[in-house]
Amino acid sequence: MKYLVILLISAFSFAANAQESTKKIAETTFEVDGVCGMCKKRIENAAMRTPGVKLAEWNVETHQLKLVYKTTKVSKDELHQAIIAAGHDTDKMKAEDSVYDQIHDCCHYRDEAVINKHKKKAVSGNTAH
Amino acid sequence: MLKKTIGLLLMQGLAIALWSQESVSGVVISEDKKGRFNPIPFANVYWMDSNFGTTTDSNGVFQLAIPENASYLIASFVGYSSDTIEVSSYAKPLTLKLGTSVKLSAVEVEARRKSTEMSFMNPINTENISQDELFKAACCNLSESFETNPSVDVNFTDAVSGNRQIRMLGLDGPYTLISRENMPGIRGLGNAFGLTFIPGVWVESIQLTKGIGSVVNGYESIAGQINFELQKPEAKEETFFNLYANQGGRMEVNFIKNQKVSERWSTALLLHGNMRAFEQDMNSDGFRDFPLQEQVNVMNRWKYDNGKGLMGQIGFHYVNDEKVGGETEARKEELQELGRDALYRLQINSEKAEIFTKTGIVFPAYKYRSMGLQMSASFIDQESFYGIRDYHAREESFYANYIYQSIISNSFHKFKTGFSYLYDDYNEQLDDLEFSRTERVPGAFFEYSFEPSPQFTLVAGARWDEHNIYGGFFTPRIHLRYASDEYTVFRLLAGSGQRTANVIAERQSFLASSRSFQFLGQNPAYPFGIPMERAWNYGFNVLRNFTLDYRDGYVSLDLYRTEFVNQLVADRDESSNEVLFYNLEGESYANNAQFELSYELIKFLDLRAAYRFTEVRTQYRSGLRQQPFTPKHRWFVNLAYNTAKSLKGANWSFDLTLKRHGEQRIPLTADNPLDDQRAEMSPAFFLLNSQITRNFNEQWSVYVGVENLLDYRQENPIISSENPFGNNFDASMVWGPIFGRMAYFGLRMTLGKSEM
Repeated sequence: MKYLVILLISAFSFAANAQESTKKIAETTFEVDGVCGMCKKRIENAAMRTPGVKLAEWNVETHQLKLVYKTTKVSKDELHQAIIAAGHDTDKMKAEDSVYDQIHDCCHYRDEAVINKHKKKAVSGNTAH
Repeated sequence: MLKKTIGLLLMQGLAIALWSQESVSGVVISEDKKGRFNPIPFANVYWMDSNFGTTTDSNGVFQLAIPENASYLIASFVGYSSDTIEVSSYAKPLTLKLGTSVKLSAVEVEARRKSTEMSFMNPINTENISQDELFKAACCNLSESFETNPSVDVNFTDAVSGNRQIRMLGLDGPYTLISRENMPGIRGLGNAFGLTFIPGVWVESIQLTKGIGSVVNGYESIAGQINFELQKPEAKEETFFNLYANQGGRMEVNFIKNQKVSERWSTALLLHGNMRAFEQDMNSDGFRDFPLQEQVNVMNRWKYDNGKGLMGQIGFHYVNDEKVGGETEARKEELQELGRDALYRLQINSEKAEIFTKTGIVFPAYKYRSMGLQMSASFIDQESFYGIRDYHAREESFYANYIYQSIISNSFHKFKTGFSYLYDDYNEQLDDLEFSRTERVPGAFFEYSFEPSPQFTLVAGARWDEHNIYGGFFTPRIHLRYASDEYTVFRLLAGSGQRTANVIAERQSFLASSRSFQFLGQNPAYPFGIPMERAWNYGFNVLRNFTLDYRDGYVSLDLYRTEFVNQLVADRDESSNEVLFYNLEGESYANNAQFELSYELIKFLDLRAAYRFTEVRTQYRSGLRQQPFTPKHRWFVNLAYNTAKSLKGANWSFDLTLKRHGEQRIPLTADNPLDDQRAEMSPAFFLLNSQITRNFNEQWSVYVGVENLLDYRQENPIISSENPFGNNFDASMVWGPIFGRMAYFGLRMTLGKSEM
């Protein structure tokens, strides 16, 4: 019985929490440069590790990063900063060269050769459309 | 179907005709609902990282020039998922297979994979335990791989051998079928110590199935099935090295090397050694808390894949394990005081050798048709004494299983069928008594799956086995799955299972007592006078996945009931000086209810909590009573947290497991002198384990952990420990930890791991 009460109380506090937080939740989408699945992982992880971010989804083709976040905890600028800190340029900010150099070779999205390498797959694949 | 095969052959023939030295040719195909392959006209075919590309003709055939350094060929077509193959030989015509239609603008959502996953699609209720989960509690062998799992219990069998056994649904280890890559893994005599012969770091993943499993794997699973997969030679080229040491004096070394030898062959070498070189007696009862021990463990296997549907493997496994437990050296000085001239010691030397092969053929033109043959030959030898009792056991065994699978008219109806043969030769000697038997069991099975939609699956299987001692028997099993929506799945199962009980080997811990063994089996036709154990198992399971505040979780409820028809009963409630072995006279059942909740509590902090009710009641001579040492109530909470990975891959992970074991029934001790009596029920207690792992990069990591952080110990686990040759001695009455708090430390190194 004791356990049941504890369970119920925690369930209620969950519900209360959820209700309160929905009011301060915003959604945003901006462009983040990157080329591959590994970039996707890195970008989404960088976003998710930022306090206040609840959901992060980056599309490798459109380069759009969709974020759901708590406005009380994190600002838009901070979101951009979090992404460039992981080595990826956004449409507003540019990552430090020293950070960019550290990411894996196959992810060097500023390099024409790397872009072409990844693009080829996509372009040739799309000719059928 | 024949027409299609000929068609495909013709297409390939055409492709060969087009072949010339400077180009490759082949065909692009896709599979239809019935599992047949059709050519894809006008599909794109191009080399990765180059400008060379072409499209297939109206028969799906292509020919393409070879640029310099080209090795990967890609085929794609709108509405299908593309296929990439590595081209090793330009001479042969190639086949590229496109996946069935994908949604065009599908966005890949990368969810964070949980380290344990409840299956949603599998009709059989299976939980997958990944290597990440196994790393959470880094000690030591398969018997300890379940420390962070609420469904499997791990208990010490006695206070002297250091041996543990697992339990599922509250039933002892042997009622669970333990398989290695779906071949018999640990059975027969292996049930005694076999779990300790599988080093934890060799294990790549574990699939945990509650209740009866598939008939394809035999008739033995009753309480569940534990299938473990070992590190795969073909998975990735890497070298793995691990060191481990704990406060209890145990040291371990592991080494694994995976290597691709040629285009078609790959090999894995797995080495393990462990030892405990010094004795410890934390509870000062004059007995070593763990035996001194040494183990050498080697496995080597070779895998073959010709890329055209023929796969095979061959390997061997060898273990040598020696344990010496019992009274400590320090006790020597007290002997005179105790009025005797010898120490109580036990020694268990085990040796196991096995060779195994697997061959599989898939038919390139028919995805759903395949066949496989698995074979293994092994022996286990155990030479041991417990005080003044000698026990020697040897098992020679051979196993073969042939499986053919295909579809009936379309992929809604699948089936697996085949036959198996099991040969087991046992020889056991307990002091002057000798028991031997030879089992020969040919069997045949058929399993039908009906899957008309992703929502519903029915699997109905049956097998007939003809046992040379126990006669023929039928094993029917049925599994149903229904997903009411994309979050909720219901499962039902019913079926039977049976096994031969290895009377002494499985209850070996009783040898660590002065109890006399009374074999009261009635039927002279059977070994020990006891028929094969047989039980029916019924189960219901509901799993609901949910997303709350953008984070995932699930709740699940399991209800299981196992009813024994025949069972070997080990009765310790008639006298504290005897254990009676007889066939079940009346009822025996196990009821289980488990409720589980898993949720990402805050970002990157995973919670898993479970409660289980276990009622295992058997008709003993003294009445229908709960099985000894089986708590009715168990609580389980696991918390796991990972910090962010740096660009180099460095991070921390933390893991905490809290378990509460309810009260357990202790067998009769009332006929002992007052000092050697114990309470009828053990107290409930908490166990807390924790581990911190530091990953420096993708290659190096170290971990530190503490087991039994609260330092809980069973007081006086050995009854009459000062007089081990007397009438009341009993080291098999264990319900809690013997060793207190125990710290451990280890390091892992992985070289050559590919980044993706």
